[in-house]
Amino acid sequence: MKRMMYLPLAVLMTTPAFASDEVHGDLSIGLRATHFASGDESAKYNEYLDMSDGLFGDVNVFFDKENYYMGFSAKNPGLDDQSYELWGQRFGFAKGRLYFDELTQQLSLDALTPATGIGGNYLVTPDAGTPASVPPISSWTPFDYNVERKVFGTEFTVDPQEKPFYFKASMEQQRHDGVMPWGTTNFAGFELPMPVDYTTNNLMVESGYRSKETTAVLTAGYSVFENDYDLLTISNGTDIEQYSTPADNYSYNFGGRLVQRLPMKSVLALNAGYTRNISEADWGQYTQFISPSADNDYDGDVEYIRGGAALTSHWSALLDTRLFYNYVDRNNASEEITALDNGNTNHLFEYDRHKAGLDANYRFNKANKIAGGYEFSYTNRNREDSDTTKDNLIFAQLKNTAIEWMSTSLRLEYLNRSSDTDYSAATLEGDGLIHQYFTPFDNASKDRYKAKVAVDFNLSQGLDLGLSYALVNDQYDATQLGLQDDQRHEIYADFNALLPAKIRLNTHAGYEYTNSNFDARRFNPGGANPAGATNANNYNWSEETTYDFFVIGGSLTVPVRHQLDMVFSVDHQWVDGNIDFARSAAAGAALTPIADADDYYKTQLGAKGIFKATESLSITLGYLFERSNLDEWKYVNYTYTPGSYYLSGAGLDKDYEAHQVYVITKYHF
Amino acid sequence: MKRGNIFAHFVPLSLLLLCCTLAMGGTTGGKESGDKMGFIGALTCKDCHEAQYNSYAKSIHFKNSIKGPQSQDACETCHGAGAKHVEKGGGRDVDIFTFDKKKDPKEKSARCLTCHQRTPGMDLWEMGVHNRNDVSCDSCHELHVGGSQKPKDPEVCFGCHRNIKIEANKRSHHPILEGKIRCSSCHAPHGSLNKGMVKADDPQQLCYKCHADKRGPAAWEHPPVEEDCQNCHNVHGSNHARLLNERIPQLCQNCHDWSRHPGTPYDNKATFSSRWDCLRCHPSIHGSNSPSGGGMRHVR
Repeated sequence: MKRMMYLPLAVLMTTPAFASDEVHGDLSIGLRATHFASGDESAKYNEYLDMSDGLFGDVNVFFDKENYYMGFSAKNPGLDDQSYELWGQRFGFAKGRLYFDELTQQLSLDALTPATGIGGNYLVTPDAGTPASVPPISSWTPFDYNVERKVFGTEFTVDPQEKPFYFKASMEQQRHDGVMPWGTTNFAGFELPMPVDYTTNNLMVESGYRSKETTAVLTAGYSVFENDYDLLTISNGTDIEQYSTPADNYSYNFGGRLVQRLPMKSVLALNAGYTRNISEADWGQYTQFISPSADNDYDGDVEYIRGGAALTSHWSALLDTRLFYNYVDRNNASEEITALDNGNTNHLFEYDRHKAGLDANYRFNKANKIAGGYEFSYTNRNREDSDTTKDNLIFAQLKNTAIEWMSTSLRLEYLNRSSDTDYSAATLEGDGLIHQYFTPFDNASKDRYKAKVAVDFNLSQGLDLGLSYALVNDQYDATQLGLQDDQRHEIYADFNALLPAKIRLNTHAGYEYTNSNFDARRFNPGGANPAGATNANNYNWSEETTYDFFVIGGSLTVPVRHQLDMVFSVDHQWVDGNIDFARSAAAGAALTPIADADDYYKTQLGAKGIFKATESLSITLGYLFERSNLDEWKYVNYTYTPGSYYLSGAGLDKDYEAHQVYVITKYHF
Repeated sequence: MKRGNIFAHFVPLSLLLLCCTLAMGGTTGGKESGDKMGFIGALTCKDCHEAQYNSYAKSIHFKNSIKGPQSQDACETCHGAGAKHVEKGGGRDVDIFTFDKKKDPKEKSARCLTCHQRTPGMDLWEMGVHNRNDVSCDSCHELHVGGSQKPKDPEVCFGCHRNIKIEANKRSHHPILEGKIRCSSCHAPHGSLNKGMVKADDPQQLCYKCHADKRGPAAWEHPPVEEDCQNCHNVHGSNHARLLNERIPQLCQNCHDWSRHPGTPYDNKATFSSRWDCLRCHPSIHGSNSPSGGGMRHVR
C-alpha cells in the first residue's frame, strides 16, 4: 500500500500545472457481437486480442501547453487486451511514460486431458503404458491452452537542452501466466498442460554526453527471470516422472560507445559490451535422478564480450564509404555434469565471431547511384559438426530516379560460406558414422544468390504503385546428405490511389514460392553408411518440399454523402504446401506425398459506414466476416490416442467462421 | 526484500518525477519576424502559405520553449532565408529549400540534424541502414502536424518493407498488427551498429527481453538456439506454427539424422512423430535443466 501514497501526491503536484491548459482528445465506446458458424470457435480468431461480445472502447486525452504536454490513453479497459499509458514531456528538459499492457495469447481452446492438477506443476495421470487404466475420452477434463501476459513499466529521459549530458532509465515487469502444451514420455505418455508462471523484471539505464564533435554513451542493464514452477512432476499414483522447465536466471550487461566526428564529414564509432547470463536450476526438488552436482543445483554461467568499430567517410559529394568490424566472444563457464542415469555429459557451447566489411555509395549523378560492398565473417565454435564457418559476402546495388515519377532499384548479393567439421574418431564410431555424410543445414557450406528488384511509381499526387521481386537461392553443393538446395521467390505489389470524389483505394498483393530438396538416410543401428545395403530398414531417401503462398487485400473508402463514408475491406491469403518423397524400390513401397503440408486459407471481409453526426461526433456501424481453415496432415483423421500416446487436442480448434457486427461512437473534444 | 519490490516502488516514484518535471515552468522567447539579412519572418511566409503556417503553429516546432525553429528563425530555420524567394514572386523551389521527394535525402536530413543530432540515439544516424539507403527524416515523420510527430508504427514501416507487412499478417505472427508490439520495440530506426538495426547486441539478446525463459544458460544446450533464434524462427511471421521457418519434422530433420526415428521419412502413411510432432517427446528444445541424461536429447 505504501506505493499508493505517491499517486495522490503526484496528482496534487500536477493539478496547478493543468489548471488552464487546453485539453483535447477523443473517446470511443463500442458494442459488438460475434456469431460463429457451426459453433466453430478457435483460439486463432482471438489469438492476441479479446474479441468477446459486449462493450469495448478507448479514450485518449492530451494536455498541451507551451512548455509541456501530457497524454493519457486507455484501450479496452476491463478486457483481456486492455492497455493504459500515461506520458508527458517537458520540452527541452525531460520526458517519460508509464504503461500497462495486457494480452492473453490464446493457444488452443477446448483441449482435453485425463490428468488432474491442471494449472499446477504436479499432474496426476493414468498409466499410459496400461491402456485399460486410461478413462474414455468422454470423461477427460476440458480446458484451454493460453498464456496471459501483463507488462507494467516506466521509462523516462532527462535531456536538458542546454546541457551536454542526458540520462535515460527504463524498468519493466512482465508477468506470464497460463498453460501451454508439453510433451512427456514413458508412463506419462501424454501431451499435458505445462504451467507457465513467469516473472521477468528488466532494468536499463543509459547516460550520455554530447558535444558538437563527440558523443559518449554508457549503458547498463539488469534482468531477472523467475519461474514459480521450475519443475513439472507427473505421477500415476505409483511412479513419478520429472521434467525440467525454464530455470530462474538473471542477466546483467554493461556497454559503451564513443562516436567521434572527424574531418571530411567522417564519423567514427567505437563500441564495447559485456553481458553475463546466469541461471540457477534447483535440483533439490528432484526425487528422480541423483544429482551429479554436489550442491544439488545447476549453475549456468555464460558471458559475451563484444567490441566493434565503424567509420563512415564522405570523400566527396558523390562518394561515401563505411568500414566496420565487430567481435563477439561467448564464453561458457557453466557447470560440467555427467548424468548418473546414463553417463551423458553436457557440452558447454562456446563460440567467437569476427566480422568485418567495407561498403561504398557512389552517386554518378543526381539520378543514379551505385552501392557495393564486401563482408567477411569468421566463426569458431566448439561444435564438432560445425567447427568453423567463413562467410564471404559481396553485394551491389543500383538505384535510378531519372524519371521524376519512377524510382528503380536492383540489388544483387552473393554469399559463399565454407564450414569445417571437427569430429573425433569416437564420434564417428557406430551410428556416428552418419556424421561423415550428413551435414546440418544451419552452418553448412553453401553458395547463396540473392537478387531483388523494386520499382516504385508515383504517378501523381495520391497515386502510387510499388512492385518488387526477390529471389533467394541457396545451393549446398558440398552436402552429401542433408539440405541440398533452397529457393525462394517473392513478388509483392502495392497500389494506393486517391480517386475523384475523394474515393481512396489501397490494395496489396503478394506471391511467395519456396522449394527445397533434402537427402537423408534411414537406418537401423549399424547401417549408417549410405553406400551400404538397401532394404526395408536401411535406405537413402529424398524429399522435395514446396509451398505456394498468395495474398491479396485492400480497402476502399467511398464518401457517399457529406457526412457519410463507406469503407470496404478484403484480405485473402492461402498456402498450398506439398512434400514429395522418393526412395529406392528395394526399400519398400513408394513413399506417399503429403499434399496438405500447412495448407491454410484465411479470408477477411469488412464493411462499415462512418456517419459524422457533428464535427466532433461520429457513429460507425460495421460488419466483419472472417473465415480460416487449416488443412495440415497432422490433423487429418486426428485421434487423441495414436498408438500408446495420448494427445490433448492442442491446435485442433484450427478452423472458424466468424460474423461480427459492431457499432462505435466516437467523440472528439 | 524480494527483487520485485524494488520495481513496485520505482514505478510510482517515476510517476511522481514525471509530474514534478512537467509542473516546472519556464519558456524562452520566440521570433515571429526576420531581423537578419535575407530573412523575412514567419508572418510573411504565412501570407502565401497559410495552411502550412497553421499546421506549423500546431506542431511542437512552434513551441518557444524548445530550442527549435520558433525560437530561431521560424519557417526559415528549416527552409532557409526567404527574401530572394519573395523577391522572385515565390514558386516551388525558387530560392527556397523544400522537403520535396526529389530533393537529396541527405540534404533534407541534414536540416533536421542541425538540431536533432544531439537527440539521444541520433549519433548513429550516419551508420544506419536507413540513411545509407536514402531514407530521410521526412520519409517517416510528418513535420507540419500537431501533437506527436512520431510516425505511425507499423504503417509507415510497411510502406517500404512490403515483405514484412505480408509476413506480419501470416497465420503465425508476433502481435504487430494487433498493436501489442511495434517495429520500434525491436528496431532502432535512427541507426545502430547492429545488423537489422536491432535494439540489442545480437538477435537472441533482443528476444530474451520478452522471452527470458529461453535465456538459460541451460545444463543441456541446443547450440543453434544459443547462436541465433532465427535458425529456426522467422520473427515477423510464418505460414508454419510457432513462427517456425519450416514445418516439423522437416525443420528438425534438416539437422538431425540418426538411426531409427530421426532419419525416417514421415510420409502421409507415417504413424510416428510426423503426426505427433518432434516436440511431443523433445519439448525442452530451447535447453533442458534436468539432472537426467535425457536432458541431452531435450526430452526432460
